Amino acid sequence: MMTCPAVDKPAARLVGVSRRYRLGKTEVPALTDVSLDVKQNDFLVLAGPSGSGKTTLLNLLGLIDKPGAGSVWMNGRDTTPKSLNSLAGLRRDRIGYIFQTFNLVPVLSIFENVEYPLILKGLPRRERRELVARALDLVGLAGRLRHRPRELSGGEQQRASIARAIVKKPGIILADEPTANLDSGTGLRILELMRTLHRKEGVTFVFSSHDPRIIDMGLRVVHLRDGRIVDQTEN
Amino acid sequence: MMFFKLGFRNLFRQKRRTAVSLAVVIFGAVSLLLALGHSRFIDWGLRESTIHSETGHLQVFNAKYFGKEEKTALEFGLDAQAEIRREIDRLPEVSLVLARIDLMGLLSNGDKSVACLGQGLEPDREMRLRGMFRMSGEPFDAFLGHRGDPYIIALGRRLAESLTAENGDYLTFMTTTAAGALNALDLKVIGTFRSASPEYEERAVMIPLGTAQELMRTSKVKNLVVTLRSTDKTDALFDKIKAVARDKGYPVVLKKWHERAVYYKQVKQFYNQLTGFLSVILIIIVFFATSNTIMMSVAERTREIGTLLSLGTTRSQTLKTLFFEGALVGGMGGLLGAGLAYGTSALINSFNILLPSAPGMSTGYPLMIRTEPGFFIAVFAAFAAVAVLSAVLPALRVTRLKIVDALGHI
Repeated sequence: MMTCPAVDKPAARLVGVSRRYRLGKTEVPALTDVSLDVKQNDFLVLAGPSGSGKTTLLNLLGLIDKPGAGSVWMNGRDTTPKSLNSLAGLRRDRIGYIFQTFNLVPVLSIFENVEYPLILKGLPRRERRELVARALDLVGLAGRLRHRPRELSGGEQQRASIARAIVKKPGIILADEPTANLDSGTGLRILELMRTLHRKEGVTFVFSSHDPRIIDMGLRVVHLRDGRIVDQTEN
Repeated sequence: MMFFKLGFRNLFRQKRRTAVSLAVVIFGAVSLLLALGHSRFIDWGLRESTIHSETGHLQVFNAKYFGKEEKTALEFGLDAQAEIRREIDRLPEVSLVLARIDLMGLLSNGDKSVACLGQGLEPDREMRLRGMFRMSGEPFDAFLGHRGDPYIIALGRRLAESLTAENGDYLTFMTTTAAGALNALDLKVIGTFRSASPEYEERAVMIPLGTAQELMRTSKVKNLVVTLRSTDKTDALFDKIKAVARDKGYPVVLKKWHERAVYYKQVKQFYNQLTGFLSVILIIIVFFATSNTIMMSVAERTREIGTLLSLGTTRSQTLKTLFFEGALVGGMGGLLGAGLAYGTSALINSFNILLPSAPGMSTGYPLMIRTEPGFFIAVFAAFAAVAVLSAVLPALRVTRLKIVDALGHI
């Protein structure tokens, strides 16, 4: 297993990554030769129009997709040759997800949804309860523990989704257009919450958006177009 | 625990679909248990009635009886039968020993003669042998009513009709003696009897054992019929009597009841094939019904499964949930089906329903269902197992699922 040569180890790193998708008989490049370091305690936004490769890049960083070429590094280790179970273990221990459509499990309560990643990690019940209570408190859902997702508003569901992502204290949290399904006011409040967690808890966030107001809130902005990084700026 | 909780709650997402799947499993379990229960009743009833009307549990023959054909009647009959009978009677597991003779001959009313199959028997013992399996048409009461008169005969109902014989009439029974000569006796008709087989009714007669021996001029009998206090002890007593015969030097051979029960074996085989075929069909129906339910459930939850996989759930953990869902449907359905089958069996048994007679039979038979715990447990376990197996196809779909595709699934 190769080790990342960087002295200041990034939370995640893409090295010369390409990814193509097959659409019928033709192959469409989604990402072409992309290299990117996600630093510890980053608050990075992937900006670009639809089809620019934001979601593909997040999928590769999140180890739910494999690159056609190049390598994905997580915590200083190349993940490319790893087995499905090892990748599942890395996702369980090091990566948190926030989905555009929240993706909470409808048959579980908000408490159980947030508790789920901790069960996967094998934490004891008492510790789980403490961590879940704290995470829900941080996102302002302490009073909604026993509710089912459908009983919550979109904004509340996204808060629960954020609590599920942060509860296991992952090395990096990925969010694909986390505000796209919310009205603008709620979307801005969700972003405010993410920034607060980043500032106070030191959580590393990588999220995507094509909404200029959301993009402006990122501390680092990576601009993508046609599957390539065309610009990187810092706010 | 979380995976089981998820599996359990998933069943309540589409309540109607789960209810339909459960109904299929319950229907399958009830149908199978009723069919098996009735088959078991037929098996039990036929076995016990065969033993208690025909074969006993064991039969004792002359050692040469099955070796070659007899040149004269009873050439290979049992001659030391009284002595052997005493030895067998001593055994505590034995409830009854009786002797029989088969004889063929002509029965005549003076105007008409009919070939017949006779049986020389001990009416009081035959009656005890039959016990609760005694048929209403059997003539043993009539025999006991003429205890002092040895020259009596009972006829199959159709044979009596053929000879226009009525009670009190005299018929001449002619047969060959053990030495090969002809002998005849005039016998008084004391009754008629019915049989499950119409052909048997046309030819059969019964006379007291002593009268048969007198007709055949012999002290031999064809065989001894031994009944035990419990059918389960057949094998043990077979060995025990064999050992007694060996020790005493009796030249005999023993046969177990099922070796002499050809009809029983045929019927049992028929019912085994029937219930086996039915079981396979029902299991296939349950398999596909449950599999379809889980498959649809997986299709609807594809995005959710993708989410759980992206959170770090392994595929084996996801499969655990699916298999548990299958087991729950099968287990609950099997349990409810077993309970319903038990209640239905009790209800059917309480009505004393009589089914029409089978082809070749002259009497019907009762529709009874035996409720044996072993079968209930086996059917419950089989349906739970089938339901778990039915999750295999959906599970294969999950193992091939790409997380990225699953998350994009609508």
